Amino acid sequence: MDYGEIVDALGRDEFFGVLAGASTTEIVVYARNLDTSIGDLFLIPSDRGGERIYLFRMTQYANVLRREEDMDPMAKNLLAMDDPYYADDFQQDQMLRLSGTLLGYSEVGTSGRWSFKSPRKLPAHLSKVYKVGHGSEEAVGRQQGCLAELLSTQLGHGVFVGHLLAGERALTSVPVSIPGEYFAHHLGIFGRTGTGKSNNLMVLIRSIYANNQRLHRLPRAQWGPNDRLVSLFAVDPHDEFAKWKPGSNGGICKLVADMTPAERAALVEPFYYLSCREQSGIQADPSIAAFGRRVRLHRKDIAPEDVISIMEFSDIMSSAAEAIGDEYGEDWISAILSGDVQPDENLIHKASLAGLNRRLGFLAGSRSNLVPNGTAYESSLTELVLALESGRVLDVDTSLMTEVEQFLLTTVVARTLFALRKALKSSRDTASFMGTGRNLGEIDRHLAAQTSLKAELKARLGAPGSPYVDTEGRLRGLGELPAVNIIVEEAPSILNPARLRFGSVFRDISRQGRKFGLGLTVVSQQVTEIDDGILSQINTEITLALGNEDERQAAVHTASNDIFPFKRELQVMGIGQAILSASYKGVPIPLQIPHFD
Amino acid sequence: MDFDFLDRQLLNVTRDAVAQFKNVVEGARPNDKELRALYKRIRPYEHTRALDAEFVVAAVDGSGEFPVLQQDDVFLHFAIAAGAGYRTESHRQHKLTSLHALNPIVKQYVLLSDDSRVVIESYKQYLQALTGLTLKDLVKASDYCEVFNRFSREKLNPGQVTWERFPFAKASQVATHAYLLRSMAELGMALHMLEDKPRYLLLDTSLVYFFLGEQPYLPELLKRALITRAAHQGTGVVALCKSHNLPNGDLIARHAKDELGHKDHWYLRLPSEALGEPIPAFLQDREIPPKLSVSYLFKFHATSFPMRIDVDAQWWQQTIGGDEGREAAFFNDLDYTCHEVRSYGYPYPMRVAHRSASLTKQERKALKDILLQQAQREGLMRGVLAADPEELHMGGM
Repeated sequence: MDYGEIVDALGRDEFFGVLAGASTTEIVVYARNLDTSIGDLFLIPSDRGGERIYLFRMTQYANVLRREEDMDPMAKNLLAMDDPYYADDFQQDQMLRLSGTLLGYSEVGTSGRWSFKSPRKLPAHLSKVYKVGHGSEEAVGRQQGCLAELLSTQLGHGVFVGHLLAGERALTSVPVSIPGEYFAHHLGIFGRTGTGKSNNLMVLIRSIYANNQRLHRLPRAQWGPNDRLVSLFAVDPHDEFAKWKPGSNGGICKLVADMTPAERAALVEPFYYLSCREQSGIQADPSIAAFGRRVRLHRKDIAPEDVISIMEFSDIMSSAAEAIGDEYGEDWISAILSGDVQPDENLIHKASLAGLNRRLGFLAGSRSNLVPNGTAYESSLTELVLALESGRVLDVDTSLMTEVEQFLLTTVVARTLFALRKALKSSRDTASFMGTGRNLGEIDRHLAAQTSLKAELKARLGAPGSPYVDTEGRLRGLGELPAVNIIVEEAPSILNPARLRFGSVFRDISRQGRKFGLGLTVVSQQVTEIDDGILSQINTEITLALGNEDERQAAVHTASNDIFPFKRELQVMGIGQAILSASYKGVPIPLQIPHFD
Repeated sequence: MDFDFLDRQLLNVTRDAVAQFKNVVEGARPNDKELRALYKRIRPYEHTRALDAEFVVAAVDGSGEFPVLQQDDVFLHFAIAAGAGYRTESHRQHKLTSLHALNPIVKQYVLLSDDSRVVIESYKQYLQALTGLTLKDLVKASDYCEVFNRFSREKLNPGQVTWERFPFAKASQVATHAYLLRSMAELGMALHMLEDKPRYLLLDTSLVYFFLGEQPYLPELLKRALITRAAHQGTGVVALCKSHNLPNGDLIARHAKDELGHKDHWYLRLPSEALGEPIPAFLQDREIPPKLSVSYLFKFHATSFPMRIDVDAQWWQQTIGGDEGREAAFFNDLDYTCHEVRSYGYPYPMRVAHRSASLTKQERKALKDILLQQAQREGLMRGVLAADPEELHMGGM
């Protein structure tokens, strides 16, 4: 639609108000006394200096009467005086004074498409103002159509996250998406308990499947510029993603059931559900039996930096752990727990060794469901990494894991993937990646200690069907691999400043993961508890309602767009209502995340 | 200003001025006998809850920008007058119903210069635009000559009421023209509002005739034309003065409250020369009540202050005629119009007319902006687009 067509479409219905004041900081509109709510969106066509459609978001409004400055005396009259009444013109004098932020404007660029721009210009005096969502359903449909076209560059495509929210109304014809590419960047999901974080993740999972299905159907040459397969390592502390809530039609199991066999083969198999439960227990549940696996790590998969990243370690203990790791390689944990390590006077002090023993105690004997003690190397890590490198969504049930085990699994997976991606980027070809004969490959350099894991990885990554090798046997570039995103649930426990003081796998991934196609999704009720360094690397935020002033302030401070005008709403937003801010979007976007069901 | 507020001489002259003010105020105080006589005339009336019969009430107010543009001795004035008409609906939810979806409003530009021919021509056109009448029509339709002759030694016949006999000031006497233009606009609108056949037509002014019997004066001619036409159709023209101008009128209000227990809902008809009554000494030469009129001091509600209304004596005699029941009914009717929440204690139609006519600061600015844009298009770049000469001078140019 061109400018004239949009103005015509809007003009078929009654305009809602008239622009009374416009400055770079505030827009003031006088409007009819009709139902409206904070957060409503308004379109303001103006042809001063060019044909533009401005977008205004109302953040405050007040009841006013035409030509009456003060309503206090009237209220007092109504209360205290005898027989007060209204003349019949009272209704026509009732108006609303709306104020809020000019989000920006759209104009047709040289490409002939509408592009959205920051608010460096203002609409003309007394411009007519149209409310999105006002009038008949037909009118609302027209308004949504206009808005979708005007904001096409902002709404994005790829992974759907929600519908544009105008006041209390979700504009179901205006979907908002995050391009797949940006799942290789870092995402923050902030919201107090009960605001819909789990539902948000469930919607993301569905959308990621939809994105992957869409791309699976398209030849790669037809993918858009920011299209990318997305893999998700979804930590599921309540074991709900697979089957979703009681009474629902099902979660991932339903999504998978609705796929074609070819899609399942390409995007799901061999598994999507991982749990510490015994395989027989998983098999007994028909809804997940076909795609469920028991997840386990081996002590040999765990590097000293993994445990340093998730537990309280002093500087001296960290040095001792690393020294033991250097000496004992992948067996460093067994060496400590079996008492093979002898203290010395240099790095491994007696007290440090005792401390390490205590810290690693959760792995001793058969205490851990995740890391059972066994001599033979049996681990899901290779399968897990291969799945993530193949565009899979993994639902990791951590309900039977301790918090430390959950963090350990996340850390080991993240570090291993990070190491492999770095190795891949450093490699010219398959040989330089895998190594030949006595020549070490990049994989050996980046996973120096994990000998057993490497052996499995090399066997699988070198075999036909490896995600790292194309059909012609060439090593794939990073850009050809899926964006892998790892969800860090209860993020403050491992991403707080104290934990990150002596280094962390997550600090490295937050700083460098983007260039290797590896992103984190930081999920938290508290923004304030997360390390500033991590927050500064997040460039997409989905901010739901937050509980207190400090958290709201921190969310505003952290957001990649200026969401200050939304600050007050962060207190009152309903379930599933959120503000999407992203460094690659010109404007923060209010969202209604739909119910997954 | 450039002086020291603690300067001894300033303090002395301030004290003297206040003392003089006090003397004048106290000098105009009614004597005790006059006061007692006035107190006896205070009458309470009931707060109006319901009406025996519904009626139409109209109101008029005016405003303007005088001048809105000026260059040399040429002045462009902008006059506004607005009317408001309501029907009482005492048994319905909305107790007052608008007669018009959009209240009538007249907006007129008047160009005046120190050339008297331009002044007269402009006023001729202005009168025509406001009333659709010529001067001759107006004289014919009013009792102006008749009432003029009651107060004049030299008789005035209709043929002598000509434009040349009106005492038009020089255009540069802006305040005089402002009063004239605004009064004419209001009275012109009042004539128009008579078409709604109201029982009462409220004006935000008094019924004073300063020049009656001395020289023809256009607003007074219009006022008589209005009253004459109103009388023919049974409309009472009620001129409401928010400032009663009654010397020491507060003593009467205090007595009503403290001694008689009437904190509100009372009225007092002042002795009227038009009814052949002797005027108390303290009111003589004050035009209270004005010639040909009957005046009341009254208070609607505790939240409002005492005000004054003037009505034409002839209408008063026909409608009230000294009957206290009819007098109270008159105030009951007016009281009823004062219960709208937006203007409790003051007739709502008056409030609406005022609201429609008055120009806010922003509207005045916008009006000038529109004029300047137009002037720019017309190539009027000199003078009108320059800053005000005084502003320039004071700004150090």
